[in-house]
Amino acid sequence: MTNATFRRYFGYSPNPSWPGADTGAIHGPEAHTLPICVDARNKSGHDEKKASRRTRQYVKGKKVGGALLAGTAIVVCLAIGAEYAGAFGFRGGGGFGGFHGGGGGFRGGAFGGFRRGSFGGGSRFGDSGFADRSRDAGFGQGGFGSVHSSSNYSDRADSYRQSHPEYQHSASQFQEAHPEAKQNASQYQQNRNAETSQTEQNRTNEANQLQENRTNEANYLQGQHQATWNNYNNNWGGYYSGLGGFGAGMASGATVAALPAAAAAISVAGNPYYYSGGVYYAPQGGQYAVVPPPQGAVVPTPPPSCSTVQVGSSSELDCGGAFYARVEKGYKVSPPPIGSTVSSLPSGAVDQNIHGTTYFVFGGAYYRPFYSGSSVIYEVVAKPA
Amino acid sequence: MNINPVIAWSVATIALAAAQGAPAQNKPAAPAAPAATNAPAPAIAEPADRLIKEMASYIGSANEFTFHADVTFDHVLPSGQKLQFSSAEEVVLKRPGGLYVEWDGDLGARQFWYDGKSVTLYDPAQPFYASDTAPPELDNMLEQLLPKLNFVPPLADLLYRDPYKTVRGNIQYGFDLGQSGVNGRTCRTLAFVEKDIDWQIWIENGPQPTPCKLVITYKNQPGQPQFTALFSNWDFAPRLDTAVFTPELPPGTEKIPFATVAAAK
Repeated sequence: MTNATFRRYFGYSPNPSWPGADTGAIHGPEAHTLPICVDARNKSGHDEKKASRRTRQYVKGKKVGGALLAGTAIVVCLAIGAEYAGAFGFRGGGGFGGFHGGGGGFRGGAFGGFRRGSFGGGSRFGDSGFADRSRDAGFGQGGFGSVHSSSNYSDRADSYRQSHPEYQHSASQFQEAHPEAKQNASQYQQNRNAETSQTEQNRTNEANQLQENRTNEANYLQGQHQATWNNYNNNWGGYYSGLGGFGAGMASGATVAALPAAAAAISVAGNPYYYSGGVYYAPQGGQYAVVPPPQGAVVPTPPPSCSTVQVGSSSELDCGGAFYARVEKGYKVSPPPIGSTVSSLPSGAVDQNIHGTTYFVFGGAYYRPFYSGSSVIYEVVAKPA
Repeated sequence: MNINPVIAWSVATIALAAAQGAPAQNKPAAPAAPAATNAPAPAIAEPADRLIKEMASYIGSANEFTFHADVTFDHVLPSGQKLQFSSAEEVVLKRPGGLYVEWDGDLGARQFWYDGKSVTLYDPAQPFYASDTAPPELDNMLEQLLPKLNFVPPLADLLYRDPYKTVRGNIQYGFDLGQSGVNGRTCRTLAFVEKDIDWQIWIENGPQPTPCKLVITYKNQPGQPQFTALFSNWDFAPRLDTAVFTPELPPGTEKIPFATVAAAK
């Protein structure tokens, strides 16, 4: 946008002190207004505060509430689905081209509701390290997204040179062997253009084939999904909802009229429980309530989707925040080891404020939150005095 | 993905041709490398080196600016399946000691404040924030952030006073791929090879050589995930209110500690 155009739209000239500002200052006062979109499904006080935060103005002279400027910004809120709606939020969207234009705000991580002991974000799939971007939202953990900090990411020996010996050639050697290499970038550009049409044709053909394959696959997956869901319902399947995000099963506190056929009766400290596929049930008023794994319970098979964690010289299973130790007759629900960390709390953890510090309690274990890198994780600590 | 062998050959050819064409690679002639390492001197084609230097000089000499980036990044599952996620990043910078970064994406959001005295990080999905003391100068803060707290705002390369120095050090090879259009902007495409990553940057032609696009390929990581940023809304006269660098947190948000890297060891 030229300086003249800028003036016409915004009534003032951009700061001329910066070279090139007259051609590049594309923001005006109105440009920094915020479209506000309220998610009708989440009207918690916390979210309202966030909505308020979105309206902050940080550019001098900018008008807050500019989202109401007729026609300058249109934000469409799509009800994507309970789990992902918050995670995806609404961003970009063009807005009015301003700094905040279309920014939408922050509702990432599937905000699950503070004080309810259930944080929807931070799904536990994947491992730590680079592959686990779910935990840190991709925000720079370990230098992610930075050229300068890229070496912090690599925990592998560099094999680039070994795998690309052609780059070991010195320039002069290469020139002797490949005089054609003198072609310049424009020549390459011409070559690339020549290939484009053929590539485009190939891509079109491939796209058609892919679309057909994808349609077939989608139909298959849809069928499988329905079959799985039916199976899930028939068997009261899943495990207690310790695995936030993908694979979540039944929530603690849910009641069922009948136990799964494969449920095994167990006794823990004289109290009866039933166990099936990682889910514990306690008799309750003629029905069965899904309960957190009772400490000391011994089950023949651990829940699905557990990961092994090292505790001192032995190993335990971390099954969605419930820890199991291998014992002679199976697997015993054990207190999580002090000092271990988890990226999300087990479902059913409740917060306690002890001496001004928030802890989360689940299964007799105390979890203290802290920021590790750019993400909140929870360390198992001894019971605060 | 099928790679056309002609294109692949051309890229390699140009890369090496550019390497050959580079003058003294911005350094005096280096003494012979020790036989044990046998490392060739970095080779960056003159146009690539010049363009990135111009871009870096342009951005680095600005005392304040804002920009927007639409980011996509890959998440490689243990099974090898590669998933792509999106995020939007807003950056507000004012030298010597002001930075605000806003990240809002598929996998969550973050806000990061730096006011010349401290850094504050907040995940709006959590009722917690963390804060730590920081040096008064932006470059020093960025340099300290990663080794101390194990994160750095994405695209931090562009926030340094001398981005050229920041990114130049690890480049092994670099070359100019020619002109390309990015979201309606005419940009020059540069490609670089480093030990752990390959990266490409598209720099706008014309008087404002700002980045149009950046792609980082983590080639040594399983699945070779990529980080891609499409830049827009570069503004070098944003008339900032310095209050933006002061954390603004919802009432009741509780401060929790940072786990420092040193403590984690």
